[in-house]
Parts: sequence; C-alpha cells; structure tokens
Amino acid sequence: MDLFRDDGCLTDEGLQALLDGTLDELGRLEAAEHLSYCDRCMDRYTALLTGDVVKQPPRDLSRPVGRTILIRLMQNVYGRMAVAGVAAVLALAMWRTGSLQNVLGHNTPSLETYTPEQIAPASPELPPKSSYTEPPSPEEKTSVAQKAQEAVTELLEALADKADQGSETN
Amino acid sequence: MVRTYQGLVYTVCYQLVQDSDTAQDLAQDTFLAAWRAIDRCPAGYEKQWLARIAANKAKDHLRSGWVRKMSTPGDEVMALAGAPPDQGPEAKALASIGMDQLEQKILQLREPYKTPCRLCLLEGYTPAEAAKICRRPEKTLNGQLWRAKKMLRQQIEQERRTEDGPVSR
Repeated sequence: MDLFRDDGCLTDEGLQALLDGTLDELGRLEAAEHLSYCDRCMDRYTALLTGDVVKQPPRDLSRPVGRTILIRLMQNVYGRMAVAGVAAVLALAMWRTGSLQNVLGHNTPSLETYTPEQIAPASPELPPKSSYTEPPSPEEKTSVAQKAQEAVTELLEALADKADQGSETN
Repeated sequence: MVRTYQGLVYTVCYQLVQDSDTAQDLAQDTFLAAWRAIDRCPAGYEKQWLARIAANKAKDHLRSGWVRKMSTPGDEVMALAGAPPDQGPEAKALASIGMDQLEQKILQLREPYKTPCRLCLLEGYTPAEAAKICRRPEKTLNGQLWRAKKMLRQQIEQERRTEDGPVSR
C-alpha cells in the first residue's frame, strides 16, 4: 500500500490505514508530518473523523486542562502581585532612609555643584551654595509609611484570598 | 471547547501514536497550546485547527522517538540544523557510489522522500529552496532528507554485504 501519492499528498488507502491503526511507526510519523502542514489532507482526514471513529479519552480532559490553565493564570497574577509588593516595600524602605530623594535627584549634588565658578573660592560675604533641601518631617514620613504599609497589607490579604479561592476550586 | 472536541483530539493523537496514555497526555498538551493561541483559531475551522495542533504534538513525539532509535550521537542536531554536506556516515556512503547509481536509487525512493532528495542531492537546490518548491516546512524537509539518507545508506551497505558474500571462518 502506498501512503503517499506522487503529488506528495496522502492516498485514500493511507488515510484509511491511519484510521484503522494499521500503519507502522514510520508511516505514522510521515502521516503526522504531512497533516501538520497540508490543509487539503487535514480536511480529508477530519471529514473521516465522525461517528464511531471518534473515541473518547479514558479520563475526562476538561478537569486537568482547566486545572492547569487556572494554575498558570494564578502563577501569572501572583507573579505580578509579588513584584508589586516587592516594589512597594522597596519604595517604602527607600523613602524612610531618604535615598528615594537621592535617586530622584532632589538631594543629589548635581554636576552644576562642581562647575569651576562654584569650585573657585566664593566671595567671603556670600554663604556657600548648597543644593540640599529639607528632608520630610517625621510626621510626613510616618503618614506615607503608614499608607505604604496599608497598601502592602491589602496586597497580602488579596494574595491570601486568592490562595483560598484556588484551594477551594481544586 | 475541551468538552466538545476532546474526543476528536484524543482520536487524532491515538491514531498517530497508538498508545492510550501518551495520547491522553498529548491531547492535554494540545488543549493547553490551543488556549495559548486561541486568538489565532480561524472561526468555523476549530476542528481542523485543533486536529492540526494534535498532529503537530504527535509528530514531535514520534520524531523524537524515531531519532532516538535511529541516530548516532549528534545526528539529530544535524537533522534539524541541516547537516554539513560532506560529513557523517550517510554522506560518505552516498559519496562512495557513482552519480548514476545514486540517481537510480533516489528515483526508486517513495514519497515523501523522492522529491526532496531529487531536488537537494541531484539538482543542487538548498533545503530552503526545496522546501519552498515542495511547499513543506523546511524543518520537515530536513527531517525527511535525514531519514532518506539513512535509508539510502542502509541500502548501499546491504548491497555491499550481499556482494561480499558470507564471511568464511
């Protein structure tokens, strides 16, 4: 029996042999390769997959597939929430230590500080130039810190809720 | 979609791999791949689209099994990347016979091997050009060329053994 015609497509006998399960391993590999790119043969093949030919899997696939999809979605959501949480904690730590302002450039001595005019001795009457600004007051820091902590707590609670929902679904 | 088409997808996988557990795993992989690419599903052709993904999964499974069975170390890399033309036992076996004999053997091959071998080994097309002419993915054509060369080498070696006759002790 020829599996392929001269034009490279599967013969009717070849398709029937595939349905009957009488092809050897190489024949099945060749058929799979061909069906993976040939639209005409795929149409012919799926047209034959009707009625008694179609077998149901021994175990229902909807549950394992649904579970895997849910796990991947949760991993995605948890990953994003974890990143957001870490970012919030980092921002809080930077704010409290005052390094956030350094990063933002408010407190960092800029290049202008070291221009020759400034490095040169200034007139004794003028006070030395400084780019230093007042840090936030302790009250300001506390209120921002509280807000950040509340946000992190909310995130953690949302994570816990999601985890509970996930375990209930499973 | 899973409930509607699980029978179809499982049947495609089972008919191609002939093993119930493997078919079940491949069917599951098929639906996961379909979920990731659901926006590319052509409306009205869900059946064919899913069957194609299933055939691809089965093809990858069968191909890795076949490569493991037939290959010497490094062969599969060559098969996928396109083997250098003058290396390996297959190339040496093919070079050891005359061009007329090689042409005769290639023309006696069956499809899907005859056309890629004719184009690449006799007419000098590159696998990429031959893939375009045959309207096959280049990776598929490379795999077919690799298997065809193995078949030709086996033929040549078998003929040599027959010509040499039984070894006397």
